[in-house]
Amino acid sequence: MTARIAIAVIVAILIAGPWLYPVDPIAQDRDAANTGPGAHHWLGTDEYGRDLAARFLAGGRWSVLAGSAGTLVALALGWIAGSAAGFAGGLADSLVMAVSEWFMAVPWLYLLVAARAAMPLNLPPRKAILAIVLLIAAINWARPARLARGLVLSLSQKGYVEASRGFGVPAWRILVDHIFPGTTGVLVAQALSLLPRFVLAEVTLSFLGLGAGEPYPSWGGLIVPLRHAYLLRNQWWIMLPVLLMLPFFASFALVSRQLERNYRVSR
Amino acid sequence: MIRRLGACVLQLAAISFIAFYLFSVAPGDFYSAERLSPQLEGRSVDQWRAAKGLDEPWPERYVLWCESALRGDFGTSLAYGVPVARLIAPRILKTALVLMPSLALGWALAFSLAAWAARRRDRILEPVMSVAGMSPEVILVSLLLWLAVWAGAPLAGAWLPIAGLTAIVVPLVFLHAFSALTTAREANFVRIARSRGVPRTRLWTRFILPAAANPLVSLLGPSLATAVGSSLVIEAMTGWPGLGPLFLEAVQARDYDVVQAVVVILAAALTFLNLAADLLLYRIDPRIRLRV
Repeated sequence: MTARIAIAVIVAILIAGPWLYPVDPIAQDRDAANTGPGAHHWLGTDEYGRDLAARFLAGGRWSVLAGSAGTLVALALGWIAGSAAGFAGGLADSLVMAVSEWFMAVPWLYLLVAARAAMPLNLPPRKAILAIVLLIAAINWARPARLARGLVLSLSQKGYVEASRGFGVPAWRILVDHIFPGTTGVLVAQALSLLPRFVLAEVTLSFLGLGAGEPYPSWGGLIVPLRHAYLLRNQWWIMLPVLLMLPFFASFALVSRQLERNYRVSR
Repeated sequence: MIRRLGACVLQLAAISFIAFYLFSVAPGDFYSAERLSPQLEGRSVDQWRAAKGLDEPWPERYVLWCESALRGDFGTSLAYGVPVARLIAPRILKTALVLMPSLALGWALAFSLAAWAARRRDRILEPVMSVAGMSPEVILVSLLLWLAVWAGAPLAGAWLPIAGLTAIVVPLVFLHAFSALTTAREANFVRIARSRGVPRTRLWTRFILPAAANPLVSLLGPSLATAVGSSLVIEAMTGWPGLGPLFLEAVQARDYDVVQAVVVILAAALTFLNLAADLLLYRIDPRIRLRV
């Protein structure tokens, strides 16, 4: 319960960020470059004098938005492919299963970077976020598809489905009325465990310089300066945004663990 | 068994094809960024493309690439002018140098922790591990870096990537091992064995561990895949000169032969490890042999 409230609070803060803390994340205040946390800049500033708190909030909106959109697309793709495979069976089933296995065999971060490389590198930020979302979804449809297939297979052998089939109910009605309601709980659980992973994928791509790109803020961009030991030594406050990201991932982990236990979802 | 091997080969062919196709339809290539470079030595960009065979249609290039890759020749890096194999081999060694110890260490640590927690019916370690398992590697490693700087430890060397990778492997293996061991411990045949008075060591070695072996052996492949994926980021963060930084550099420069070779070699390694894990499972788990 606490973790659910934490997620709601964090998301609310990210959404209300521009009103709660009305500072421009891109504006440079050269006189206040590299200053520590204070009344003026709550989390301090970076080497261009940009406010880290504002960058954290704006970047979080960006990263979480990309992650949730990716989750939606991946779940939709995976659910359609998986339930079609489970419902139709036969050749379609073995084809979907084989292709999903290929996608799961490659380390997906390498795959993500390789696929990103196939697109123009310097995209405008709006297009970049769209590209990232589509990529994340295209690469991660396999796991939800396998999950949906297993569920649909077991559901379509239930008595009530057999009965409606016997009454001559068309296949699409069985799918919509009897099979889809049985999968919603698992879908929600899967969405909650996928979302932080996809946020992380966006963070990692931005960290590697393949995401939204400077000067636009993102959580991955905030991690880039941590590579430099001298900055860590002299400007401890660049660590603060990273520490603030931890509760987000932790509360999602706790909630999805709880839900997975309730629905007994296999990983 | 033959079918399984055939599926592996097909899988590799599909992955190499997808990778190749992606880069053929991608806009721009290595030379579109090099138009003004003084190193072109009097030849035009189009002449260089023709010299490297980049103006051929992609199906033709794919067939050529497959032929030479099967002979162990992955082409020549456009950026370095060195055979890709010679460029990649030392990097693979470097990556293996951090991957192997951290996998061994991670498995040993996670497994002993899981066995300890399962025996004590511990309720704290499991949620802690699922939180740790969800934290992204960029954050874990930056925390590690911060601690290292704060404690004044040396930042160079292999220990930082090894520690980071171990921190990725431990929660993953722990969660699976913990659930496998608790299920096995509560199975009816284990309860009966315990009530018959089977001594504890014998109970673990003859009853619980064999029953829990199946999910753990099938985890071997995925745990390596996760570690390899994380090594990309961790090497980039800690500056370890493994496969990850080379791959990123090749991606940015559109040095496609290098990217292609890395993707295919990694996919091959993981595919055959999965195959090996399946074979191992076939040997140690009689239930699978019955089904086949």
